[in-house]
Formats: sequence, structure tokens, C-alpha cells
Amino acid sequence: MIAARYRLSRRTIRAIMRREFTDVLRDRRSLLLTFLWPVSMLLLYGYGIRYDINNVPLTVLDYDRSSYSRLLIEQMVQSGYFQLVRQGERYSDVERDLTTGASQAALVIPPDFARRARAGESVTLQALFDGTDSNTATIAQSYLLAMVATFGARLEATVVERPQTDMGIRVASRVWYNPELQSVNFIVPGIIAVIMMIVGAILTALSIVKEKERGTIEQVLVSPIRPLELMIGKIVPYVLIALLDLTIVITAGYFVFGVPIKGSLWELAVFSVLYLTASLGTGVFVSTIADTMQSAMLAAIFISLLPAVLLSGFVFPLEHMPVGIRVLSYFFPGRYFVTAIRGIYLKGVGLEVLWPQALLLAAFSAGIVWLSASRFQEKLG
Amino acid sequence: MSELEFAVDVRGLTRTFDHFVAVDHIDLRVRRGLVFGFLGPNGAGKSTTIRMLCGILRPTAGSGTVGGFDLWRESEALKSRLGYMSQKFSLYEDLTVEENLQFFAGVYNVHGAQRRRRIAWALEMAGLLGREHVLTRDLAAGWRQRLALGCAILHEPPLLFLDEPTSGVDPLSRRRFWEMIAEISERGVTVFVTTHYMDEAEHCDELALIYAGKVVACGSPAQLKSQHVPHALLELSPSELMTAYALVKQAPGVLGVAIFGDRLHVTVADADLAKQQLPVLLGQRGIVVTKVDRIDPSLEDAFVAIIEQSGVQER
Repeated sequence: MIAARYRLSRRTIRAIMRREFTDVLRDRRSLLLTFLWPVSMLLLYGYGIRYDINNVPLTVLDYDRSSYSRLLIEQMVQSGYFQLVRQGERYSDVERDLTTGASQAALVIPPDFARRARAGESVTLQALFDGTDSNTATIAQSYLLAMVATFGARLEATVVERPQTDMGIRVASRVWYNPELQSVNFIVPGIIAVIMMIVGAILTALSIVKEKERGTIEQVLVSPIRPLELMIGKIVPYVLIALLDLTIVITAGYFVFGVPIKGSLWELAVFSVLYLTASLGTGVFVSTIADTMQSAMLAAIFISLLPAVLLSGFVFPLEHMPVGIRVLSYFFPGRYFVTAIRGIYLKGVGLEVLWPQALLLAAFSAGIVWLSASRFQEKLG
Repeated sequence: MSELEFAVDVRGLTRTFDHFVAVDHIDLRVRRGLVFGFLGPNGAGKSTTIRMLCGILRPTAGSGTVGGFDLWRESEALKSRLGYMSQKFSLYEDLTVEENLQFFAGVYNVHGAQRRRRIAWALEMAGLLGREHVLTRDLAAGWRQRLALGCAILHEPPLLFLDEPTSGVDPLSRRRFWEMIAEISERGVTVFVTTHYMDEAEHCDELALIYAGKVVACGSPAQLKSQHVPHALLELSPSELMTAYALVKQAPGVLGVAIFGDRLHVTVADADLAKQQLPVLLGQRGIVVTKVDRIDPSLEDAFVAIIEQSGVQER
């Protein structure tokens, strides 16, 4: 009798799971939220949020008018990062273009550019940026510096017979792991973190709270369903949906945006499952504190989605945040997951480097699952 | 279960919410196989009681058995032996009729041939044949109630709890629903039903009246009426209703008058005496009384009398 009391009924769990799947597949809104949403998010972020920039309008004031200076300008335009809007005649042209917004960057080439470059002396070019959009300005600045440096290097190669090859315009910066500074490479891993939170935490919480709100929980409580059976039956469908979403995002990232995975898929799966566990735990936890779908949605956004977006390093680099917020970020799983998944995606590193993230994520998952399961038992038992 | 005399046998059942005593030390004994009505106005503690008996809500105090299972220690075992239909419609509205039945069959471990048989039976009983694939949300209220009842007894529980099953349902569906209850009861199922409709209470074998958290009376409808309404009730059909009303009101031995359609209900101390005197009194003023009958008091009359006698204050 005792054994029977604690044995889980497969039939019961299956009935709950089937009901849950029917619910998701039949409700157009939840269908949208589970399948269309991740893809549109990927497209939106993939095309929309760009940390890399193209065709920055550029005004050039070339005092030198030599073949060298023309070559520099031509290379900058051909790179695709800059678009020449004007060859200025005088300095006021530069000022006007930057003020009116006709251009966001300007390059002033001094009269003795070619001569001094040939002589191997140091040359100073003036670059001006419209700082209103500080993000674009910073990136344009680094591109411009990199290009001038490349030009210096090329020049170096063509004047190889000269004894003195120090061009003085050497800017040595090199980007590792994401050499083209493709932001989509950076964003796809972050989107995975957000989507898993939405499916794992928000949908799970909503599906449980929906029963409370509609009163169907009464009929469930009075039945022989055990809290654990209910929890398993509720969670498994969302695990499958989350894994499907994960596959969609990884595949779309690869085929649509050409985002490769440098590390192993196996390790990516390990981290994803750990993180998914954490988000499901959060979802069940939310369901134990909220009684209406509206409050569940708010609570879930607050304790799962916002941290996953803001405190994970997905959108805003954590290093640039105030100490307090950085400390706060350690209490949410997003940080560990985003670090780990970016490591796997971009650097190709694995557990040998990411074991601290794996451990912390596992600890967090275990903690939240324990907390939410005991609260769930207490509320429903 | 076979030798069990009382399907419900609880003593001192109490539930408080913060400082509000929703159910105040009630004793209930429901003999097996009866339709037991739990009657009371809204907020009297009906739902709280039924939810405690079903094991959804933990009592603050009290002891006893439900379906032979101990209220405190065996509520899990009880759950597979009872059917429950809550006040609020609690099936899944976004599932079809058949999917709801399949879901509850799964939950109650009804499987194989038995599942097919029970689902077919529930569909037929609820009059839902041909509507298996209709979304529950699109059903009219009466059908929903019958489907909910079908789901609640899919696993053939010996004990069925119905919490205000007919609230918000049209009169025709209400009647049909009570026919279903009678049918279920004939199969030996004990039915515990709460209601605030007096006419529904008349269908019950036994009643308990709850008022402000206390059970104020128990018994069959006939017992309650005869025991608790001390005065006789006469029904008069006078020719001039309003004049007759005013006259009868002031006549000696008359305790109260109420107008029911084109008739008067007159509460009197002595029925036989009044039956002779009143037509004479009215006749003196030229009013013809076509009919004078002693009638049984309604359950509502009984309930009013019981509450007045009990001294329980409204809250």
C-alpha cells in the first residue's frame, strides 16, 4: 500500500503531457510564442542589432591629393565599411557635414602625407567622428584605425626596397575569435539563453498558473494526481519544445547567418540542459508565488527574462556595469550560460575551461529545482 | 465499503481563514446511497465544507471519515474513490469533449475496454453523442455541467460530491441534471450535493441546513417542514385580492399574510378555526372566497423558521 502510494503512474503523467501538448498546439498564441517567436527574434536581432556597421558616411578632405592619398581613400571605400559622401575642398566642408549629419566620420589627410610616408617619417592623420551615436562612432573609429594600419602595412610591402620601413602609422590591433567582428556570431548564443528562459520559465509558469486561474486545478487536486506527477507532466512537454527551439535557433544561426559552432555540440547540449533545468525550476517557482496569469507573466519576466537579457552579458557587456549590478548578475544563471555558450560557439573551448560555469550552473539548477519542487508539493499536497 | 453505514461521518469539522470562521464545528452524517442535500445561502460555508470533505482543503479542526477513509490520514486513498464537481466549471475549455473525457480517464487510471465503455456511457448520459469533437468552450452551460458530471464519475466512484452543480444553468437543464443525479443514485452512489435552490432541495432524501458556518438543522425535507414550522398555512382564493389581504391581515388568530399570485398564504395559529372564520369574515364585506385549503409549508418557510429559532446571527 505504501509503495503504491508513492509510485508514479505513467498513465497519469501521459494524460497530463498529452493535454499540455494539445493546449500548446491548439492555442495560436502559445504556438506563436513557442515557435514563431524564437525565429523572429533571431531574425530581428540577427539583422537588427548590429554591433558591426557598414557604409558609414565619410567626408574626406585630402590636402595631399597624391596617388598615395587617393589609394588610401579608395581602399577605405572598397572595404564596404565607409561610404564616401564628399571630397571636401576646405575644412569648413568637414565641419558642415559632421554638424548636419551628412557624414558620421571625416578623415583629413595632411599635404605632406605621401612625401613623409615615402621618407618613412611619422604622419598624423586627423579623423573626426560624430559622437552623437557613440556606439557607431566607437566602432567606426576602430575600423578606421585598423584600415589606416592596413594601409600602412601594404605601403610597407610596396616600398620594401627602402631601408627605413617604419611608417609611423602602425596601429596594431587584432580581433580574435570573431575576426570580422560579426555581431550576429555574438548574438545567436545570447538568443539561445533568452529563448530557453522564455520557454522554460514563462511558458511553464503560465501553464501551471492558467490551471489556477481557470479553476481546473480544483479538478486536478481532487483527483489522485500527485504533485510530482503533475510537475513532470507539465514540464516534459516544455523541455521538448525548448530543445526543439534550441535546434531551430542553432540551425537557423548556421544556415541563415552562417554562425558556426567551433566547440563541440555535445558540450553545448550539456550546458543547454543545465540551463533549461534552471529555467524550468524558475518557472515552477513563479507558479507557486503567482495566482493569476498576469502576475505570473510579470513575475516571470522580472526574475527570469530580464536577468537573462540584461544580467547575462547578452546585450550589455557586464564588464561595463557598475559593481552592484555585476555582483547581482552572479545570482542569475544567464551569466554562466552566456559565457559558456559563447565560449563554445566562438572560441571552441569546452568543459576544460568552462567547468566553473558548469558547476555554478548545476548548483543553481539544483537549488532552484529543490526550492520550487518543495514549494510546489507544499502548495498542492 | 459494503458494510459501511455512513459515507460521510465527521464531527467538529472547522475551518478558519485568518480570523473568519467559515465552517464552525459541524457534525455531518450521510447514510450511504442517499442523495444528501447541503442547503444554505451563498457564503454560509457550503463550498468550504465540501472541499474539506474531498481533501482539497485541510480542516482547522475536526475528525471523521469520508467513504470510510480517515479525513486526516487517508485523504490520498480517498481521492481515487470519490467524484467531485466544483462550483466553478473546471474542465479544460480548450479541449474537446472527448479529450476532456480521455484526460480524466487517464488521470483516474481508467483504461482499456473499460475506458471505451465508460466514455461511451458518459457521452450518452450527458446527451453529448455527436458532439465528441466540439471544443468544450463552445458548449452551452447545461451541456458543460453534464460533461463535468460525466468526467467526475468516469471512474465509477461510490461517493460523488457536487458543489452547486446547477448554478447558472437554465431551468430545463437543471431538471435534466437532477434526473441524472437520480439515475446515478439508483446505482448505489452516495451523492452529496450543495445548493441554494429550495426546489432542488426537495429532490434530496436528506438535508442539512447550514447557516453562517453552522449546521442548524438536519432531516428529510418532510421532517424539516413538519418539525420546524409550528404554525399552519392556509391558501385562500378571494375575489378581491387586495381588499382581502388588508382584512385578513387584521383578523384575529392570523400571524402573517403573503400574496402568491392571485392567492393569499395565511399563517394561522389554529388551522381548523381559521378555515371556518376567514371566509365568513370576508363574506361579510362581500368578498367571495372560492377556495380555502390547508397547505404544507414550503422548505423556504421551514428554513426561515429554523434560522429564526436557531438564534445564529447573520454575518
